[in-house]
Amino acid sequence: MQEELKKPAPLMELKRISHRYQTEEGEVEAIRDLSFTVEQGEFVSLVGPSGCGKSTLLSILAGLISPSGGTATVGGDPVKRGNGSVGYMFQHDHLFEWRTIEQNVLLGPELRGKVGEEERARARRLLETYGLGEFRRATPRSLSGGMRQRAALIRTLVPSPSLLLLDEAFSALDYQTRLAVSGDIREILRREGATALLVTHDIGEAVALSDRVIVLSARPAVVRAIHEILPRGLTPAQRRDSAEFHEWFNLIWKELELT
Amino acid sequence: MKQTEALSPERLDWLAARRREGQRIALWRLVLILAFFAFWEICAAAGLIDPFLMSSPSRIAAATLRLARQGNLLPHIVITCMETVAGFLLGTGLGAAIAMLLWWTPRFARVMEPILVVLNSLPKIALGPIFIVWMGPGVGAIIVMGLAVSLITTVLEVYHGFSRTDPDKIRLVECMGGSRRQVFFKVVAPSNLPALVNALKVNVGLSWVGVIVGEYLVSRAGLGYLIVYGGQVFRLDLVMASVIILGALAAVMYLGVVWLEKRITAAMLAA
Repeated sequence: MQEELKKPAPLMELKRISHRYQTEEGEVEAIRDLSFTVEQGEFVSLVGPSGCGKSTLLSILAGLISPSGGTATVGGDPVKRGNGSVGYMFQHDHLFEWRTIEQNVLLGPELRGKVGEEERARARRLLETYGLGEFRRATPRSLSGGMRQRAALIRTLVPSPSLLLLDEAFSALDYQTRLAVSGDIREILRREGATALLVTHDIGEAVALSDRVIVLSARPAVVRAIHEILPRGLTPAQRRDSAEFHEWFNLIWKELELT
Repeated sequence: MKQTEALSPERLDWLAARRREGQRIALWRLVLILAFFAFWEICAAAGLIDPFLMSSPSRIAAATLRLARQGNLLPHIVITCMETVAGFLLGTGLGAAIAMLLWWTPRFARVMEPILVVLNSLPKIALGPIFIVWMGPGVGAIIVMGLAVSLITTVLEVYHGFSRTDPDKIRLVECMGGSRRQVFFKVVAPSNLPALVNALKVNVGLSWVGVIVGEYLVSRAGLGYLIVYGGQVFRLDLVMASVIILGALAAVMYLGVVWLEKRITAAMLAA
């Protein structure tokens, strides 16, 4: 009992999440009894066959839809839309072309009606630190694809979310940019001590970036396997060069084929 | 696209060639228009066509001058322009407001959709007599006619744009706790500015149609009135002169909207 109390609570916890939804064609069981946790400061990837309910899961975590069953908590509290505890990053950067980079990254505080000196300073620090300082007053148009995705990440980080959801966040980029940007963003998250959950269909990306990889089955999604990728603390490039990389890749590949 | 570096001779050649091509196109346009009028004039002078029925450029010019000298031209132009601009602004503004309401309440939009489509295919000109009864035979009825012609198209066009706003952009704002009002004003409206400007362009033409038809029906002044009057008293010079002035005014108004479009785009990029 004593032992259990000492162990820090996980940052994010999914307990027996189930979700069904209705369509014209019938009822779809997207997720069945899904449980897993993400610890503070961890980078976890979810891989699974396409259409396995990963997006539904992210929508639940973002508080955009309520699950049919089970509970989802972040920092001990049930998830709630727009309370700032969860940040969401999309496949496309969705920077607003009619705003400057600074106005774009301040979108979160602006929507909650509090763009104070503190928020401005945080935005400025993040932009400066990650090489976008001189583009503060530029429009998204003048940034490269990688820089745009970095700006999108900063927009997500400005409201200081406890958990970041990365929804196929790199898959719209071409292969070379993708390697660079995913490594770049992984490094930013490490430095900011952020906790992230990445949904991807790219096994290599999941293995290279993550502390843990969770393999989901085909719909209805259940957890097929959870792999801890050791040693922690390698950069994505080092990970890709490591001897174990291909072993992990092949193992997860087979697990996905089984589903 | 920096122009600071010295340009290569090939680049200069290419730029010069492109400029020459642009001038050539403009010249051809002018030649074509002048040729048309010249041909018309020659045919009339040579007796190939009856200038009484077909008029001729010189007779049109004379008619225009005569009107202007009598002080009868400008008031007609002013009244038609005023009616058109009023109909245009009302149609566009009201149309955009209704489109916003439809976006805001999806159920209302679903209820209204078939009704709007039917209204859109209804020839609005058929409503003319109703407007005259309601508004009285005057400027009011004409403006409402101009409004009616452009309103439903604007609603459908702008609502269509609103409802096709990138759902992920909306999701982004919702994830950050944005309200429906914030979704509209921070995402839907700004990303549809091009659709709005496009509606303006279409409405310029439609408003002229509505106003001229309105003037055919009721007016005692305006270019539409001059056209009808000219036709009734068999003065084709007057009819043709009015039509040509109308064409010129429509072109000016269209260019105004194009200018506005450029300003808006530039402002959006510079903001």
